[in-house]
Amino acid sequence: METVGFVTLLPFDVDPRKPVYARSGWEIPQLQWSEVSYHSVYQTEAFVRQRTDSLLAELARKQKRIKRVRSVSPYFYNCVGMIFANRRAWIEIEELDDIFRQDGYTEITFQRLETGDIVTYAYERALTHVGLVTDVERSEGEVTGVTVLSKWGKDAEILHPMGVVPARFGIVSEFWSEKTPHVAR
Amino acid sequence: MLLARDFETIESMEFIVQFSVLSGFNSLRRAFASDETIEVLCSTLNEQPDACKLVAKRIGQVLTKSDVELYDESIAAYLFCLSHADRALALKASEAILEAGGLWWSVQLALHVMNATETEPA
Repeated sequence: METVGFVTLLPFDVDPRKPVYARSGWEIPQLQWSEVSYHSVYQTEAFVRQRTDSLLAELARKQKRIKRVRSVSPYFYNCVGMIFANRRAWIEIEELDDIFRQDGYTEITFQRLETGDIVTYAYERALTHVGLVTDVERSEGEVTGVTVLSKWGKDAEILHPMGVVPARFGIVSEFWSEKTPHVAR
Repeated sequence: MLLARDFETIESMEFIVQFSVLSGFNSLRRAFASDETIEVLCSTLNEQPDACKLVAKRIGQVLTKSDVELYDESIAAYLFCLSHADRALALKASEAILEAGGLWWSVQLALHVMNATETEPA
């Protein structure tokens, strides 16, 4: 191992990533290091910006407008990693059902949705995406608007109306929650 | 020129961002399998074996670009089509992709192609 100033250069075969565990103690699978070691755990920020700008222009052409871009972090994490690994990991979307189970989440109806809950998306019944609910608007008890924060693959972390997503995400599929309601005494 | 328009489409930002937003390797493969542009290219490669060489050559050309990282999804799309039409060329292209490094989906697909059985495409 070579040290240059304050920067330690790790050998190429050392995996700098750390494991991520669910509440049950189950280790959430990440990509094998052999699959990731061909590149850095960072991508080029300018390319993240470029793809994001193009994506947003494409959505705007379809009259779909996001609320704002929260981050164009070059670190490799995805929608699952944003929510369940604090932006530290890329976790394949196929792991989501197991994560919900191992973390004690329960499926809820749309009308019970609250800030902090989770929304999933599916394309032809296959899970494609997950987002964190940041705001729920209600009128006369009915949900009238939902805002979601989610990481769009390799691209930006975006605050968006629940229905404003790239076509490849498909449609809103399920709502999940993990909470113990507080009842004032 | 044969395939020039396909190359232009597959290397366009509009094409790339359809797939860069995905969050799983299987999602990517499903999305490729249902994409019209990729379906057309796969058909062309199956009907005109010489076109496979052009796609393999194109992968090599894109891999030498200074901004190759931006074309990760394009290279992966080329490899996906090639793996359905010419396994030997797909293996060679996979080796070149792994040697180049610096890519996300293309590397995963290249490893998948190299680990797949002889009859299984990407």
